Amino acid sequence: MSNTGNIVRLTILLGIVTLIQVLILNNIDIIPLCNPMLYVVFLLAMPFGTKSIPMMITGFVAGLLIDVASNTPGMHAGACVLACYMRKYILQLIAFRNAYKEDELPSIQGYGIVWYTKYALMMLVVHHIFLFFVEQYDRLFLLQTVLRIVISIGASLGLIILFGLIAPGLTGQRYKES
Amino acid sequence: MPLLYCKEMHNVIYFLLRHTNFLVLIVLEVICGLLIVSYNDYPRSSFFSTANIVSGTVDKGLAAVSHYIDLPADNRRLLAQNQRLMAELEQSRRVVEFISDTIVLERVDSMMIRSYPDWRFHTAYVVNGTINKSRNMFTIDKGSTNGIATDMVVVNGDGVVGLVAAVSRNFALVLPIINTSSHISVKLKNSNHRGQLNWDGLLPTVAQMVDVPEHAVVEIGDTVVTSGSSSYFPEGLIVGTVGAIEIDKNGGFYNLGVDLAVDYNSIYSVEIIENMKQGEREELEKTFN
Repeated sequence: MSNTGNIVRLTILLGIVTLIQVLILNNIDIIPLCNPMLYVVFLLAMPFGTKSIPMMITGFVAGLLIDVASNTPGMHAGACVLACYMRKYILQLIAFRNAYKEDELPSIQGYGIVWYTKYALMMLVVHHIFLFFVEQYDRLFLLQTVLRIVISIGASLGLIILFGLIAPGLTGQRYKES
Repeated sequence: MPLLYCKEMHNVIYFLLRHTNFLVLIVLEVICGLLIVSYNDYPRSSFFSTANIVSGTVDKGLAAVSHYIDLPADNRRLLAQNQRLMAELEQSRRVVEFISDTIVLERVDSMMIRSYPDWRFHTAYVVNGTINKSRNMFTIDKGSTNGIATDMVVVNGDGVVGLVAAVSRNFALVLPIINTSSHISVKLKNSNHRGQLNWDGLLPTVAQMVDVPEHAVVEIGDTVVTSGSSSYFPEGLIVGTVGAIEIDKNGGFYNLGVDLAVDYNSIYSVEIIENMKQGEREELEKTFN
């Protein structure tokens, strides 16, 4: 996929997941302590070759967008920036046959559901731990926060994988040169 | 020596170049930290919030769609409120008739003239909000141009929703009871014992009333209302009912679980209460502080 194609695809993806996040997921309260964060799928969908600094800045902007819509300035942005910084190391840790192609996209279709689950889970762990602890910055309910992190990671992971299966065009199919 | 200095400088530059990623991370996180600290505790600044005019307007359009689902529940609530008000009106009409039958009419008239309104009501719609976080906020579609100001009370047909935390020209941000920063002064309707209503962040249907002395008589199902001890809240607005009673670990006080009257899941139309005498009262109270 060309560079412009990627930018268009990521912009559409960000728009869609932001709408789903703000309009639906922020207002759902079926399971207590469950705040699913589908929009992290946007960070996951960036091409392998994305350099750390552009990635962090993109994450910062995306997080700020969610922040503005849910009245939590800085919190989501901070979590996104950290997750973007850590992505390089996470990818190294779960290297797929020691080789990612620079312009390929991390996707379920391309790398299999097991690899993608590991990848998404690690990114979510970084993102959610940062987010939910920062949210409690003035009064800490430790047990409640830990439960909130665990439950929300589960819900986010499920939603992200579901989203990847439903909309493979957005989260990125394996790139094939032909 | 100059050579050594150059080498040191070179090392520093080399170090910075090697760790640019980390430095950018730190810079961005510091910006985020500043945003969090400057905004939170009490969200006075409204730039990075849905009270902001751009996102507020977008929210308003989107809310028109998503709140369509909540309309039936909202309608039922308004009908019930209407019925209650009609009954109250009928009752007070009878009282007035009774009084005007027994007392000289002149005096009744002068009494009525003196009782000018203390509270003014504004209506608004919720256009955005969250209920599953530990710091929930709601945005409503009335702002400073409609006479809304911070610290005004927000209610709906069921009871107290929260306080206005920030206003922009056309929107206002509501700090609901279900925000861990919300602390409002309440009392038990039956025994008049006062306490503070906090929220532990767990369930959007239950808040916690603390500081009620152990000797107070409390029963499950007792009504909890606003105490009127802060100048923001009129006295006697329904907050909820006592759903659980336990004694504080340190003893001497109750920890009451309060089932909230407002269902935050289907919140749509709200009323904002403006205290016409708030300035006067605050000025008087300030003279003693």
